[in-house]
Amino acid sequence: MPARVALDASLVSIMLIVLISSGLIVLSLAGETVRRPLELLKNVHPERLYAFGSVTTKEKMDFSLGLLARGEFKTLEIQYATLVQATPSFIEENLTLSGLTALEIARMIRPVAILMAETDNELVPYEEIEVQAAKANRTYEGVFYDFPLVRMYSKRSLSDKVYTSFLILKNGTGALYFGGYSDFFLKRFGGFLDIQRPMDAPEVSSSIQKLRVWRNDNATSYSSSIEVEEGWRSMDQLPGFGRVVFQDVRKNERFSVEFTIEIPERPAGMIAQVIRIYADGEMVENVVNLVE
Amino acid sequence: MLRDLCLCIPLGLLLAPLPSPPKAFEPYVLVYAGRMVEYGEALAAIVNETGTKAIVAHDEDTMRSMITLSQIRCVVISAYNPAEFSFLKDFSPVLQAHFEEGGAFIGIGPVCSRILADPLASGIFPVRGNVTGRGTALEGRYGSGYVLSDQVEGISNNLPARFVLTQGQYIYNSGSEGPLEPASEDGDLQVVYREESTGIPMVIALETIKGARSVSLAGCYVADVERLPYYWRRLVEQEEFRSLLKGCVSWAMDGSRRYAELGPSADDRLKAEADAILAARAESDLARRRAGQRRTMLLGLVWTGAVAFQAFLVVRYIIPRLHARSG
Repeated sequence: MPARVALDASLVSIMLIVLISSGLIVLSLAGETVRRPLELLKNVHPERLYAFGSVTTKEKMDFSLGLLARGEFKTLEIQYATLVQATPSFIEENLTLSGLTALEIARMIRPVAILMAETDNELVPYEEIEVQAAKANRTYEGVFYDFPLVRMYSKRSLSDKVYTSFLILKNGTGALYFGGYSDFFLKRFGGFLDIQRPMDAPEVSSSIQKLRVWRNDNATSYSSSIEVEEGWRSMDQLPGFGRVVFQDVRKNERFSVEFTIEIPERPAGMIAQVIRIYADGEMVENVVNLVE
Repeated sequence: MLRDLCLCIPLGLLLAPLPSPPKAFEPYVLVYAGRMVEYGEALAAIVNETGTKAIVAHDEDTMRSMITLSQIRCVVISAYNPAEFSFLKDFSPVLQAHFEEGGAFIGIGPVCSRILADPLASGIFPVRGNVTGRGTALEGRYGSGYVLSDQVEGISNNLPARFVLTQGQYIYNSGSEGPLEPASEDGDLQVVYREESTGIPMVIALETIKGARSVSLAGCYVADVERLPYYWRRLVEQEEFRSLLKGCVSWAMDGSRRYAELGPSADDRLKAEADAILAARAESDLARRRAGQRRTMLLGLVWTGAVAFQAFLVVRYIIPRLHARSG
């Protein structure tokens, strides 16, 4: 009969402690939420808008957004909104903004307040997103509103005329207000009638000269040239309402949207570019670019 | 206690708030009067008397965002200054699209005229005015006499066959041989009222073959200056104008196709849109659950491997040493 080994009690307890503690660590790791499915690789935009930039100032006005997939998902959606700074009209007269938050101010702005009331529903609700923006060493906190119901009844070809989105940024005791379109940029379909051009400026049918949507090394290219090059598409074939969608995204895939603009006239105030990124219907990232 | 908890969970699930059925959107009339906000509010107050709520677009942003919604029944536009015409000119493709979908429009004053807002006026308001006529002092007012031309049920039946309406100017189309009659290739056009002394069309009703309706009030030119005889308040307080505007709005709303089609189907469209969103979210949840399961399984395997390795170390090295020590 083999000799019985008297196991040391301390060894057994150490083993049990190791077993239980490692089990707990594994359980806690298993319960941890999966990290961000997307990483923002680049976000390029001009600091200032120039009318006829490349003709008069030689400035190229390029916008570029790059993403890296950190996980796998069915749908990746990049939603652009381009907004123009304006003077807000409030539902109350002689309103003092100093003590109000951006959210409170936003709800007093006439188009926002009216749209909130008139499109209020649980099925396709409006989006109210807290955002941050930076410009010239200043950081602004604010709120962005998007009304999908407006887009639902609007024509794709009119996306640069119908306001779907609003941005309100708290600015000291006041607020910066922007209203705008679900589109890559202003006046995508032209609308440059009666505009005086410099002598050597080309006639432009769209503010976007060219736009490229990349998935890894494959690009889908759009051009506003009258004679579109082979392999390129015309500007009216651009994805509607500034919304680019990719399906069946794999880990480590790269995506980007790049475009160059040329505008014969610029808005008086700043413009804001708000880019929301959705993975499988849930917003995972938002970017606010302010351009003077 | 555990049994109570087990009973509570399904009960809680049953009582959890379910998405409520879609709320029917209240129809409204959109009124744009540019910078003359008080005038816009006065027009909205008259429209409210038809039983349909009016919303005043005090600014361009409200106009740009409100016009596409399904619950809009009619758009009333009255503009008087170049900045407003410039905005309307830029925005005219949206107005034109709304009209082509079978929308309803009322144009008051120069906005109906081609000369000031060309693309807008050409399709929706067939006045094509290029000449301005002036009002005169008439029966204690400054304006023009309106006489009934074509009886249009809904517009003219609550109004007398002749009345004087406050207006500073009116705009009409004139050729080399004098005033021209308005015409439209898009549908039936009727001149409801004419200017008494010249026969120039003042109220023009258009019903297109696509089911849109518009009424052009080619006169009704008012100003925001109180001392002028054609100050806007003198117009909106006039009973004949109130009846005329209510009649025009009701006639345009009742016959237009856009709201008749989009209004009742709004709930279905919302449900379809919501279903698409829910489907995407369900897919996202499923993907996340699968990723979680994969992660748990991987961690479980690593842990099992580590435990097995630990057991191996114990059996291979520690127990023999204990054997040796006890032996």
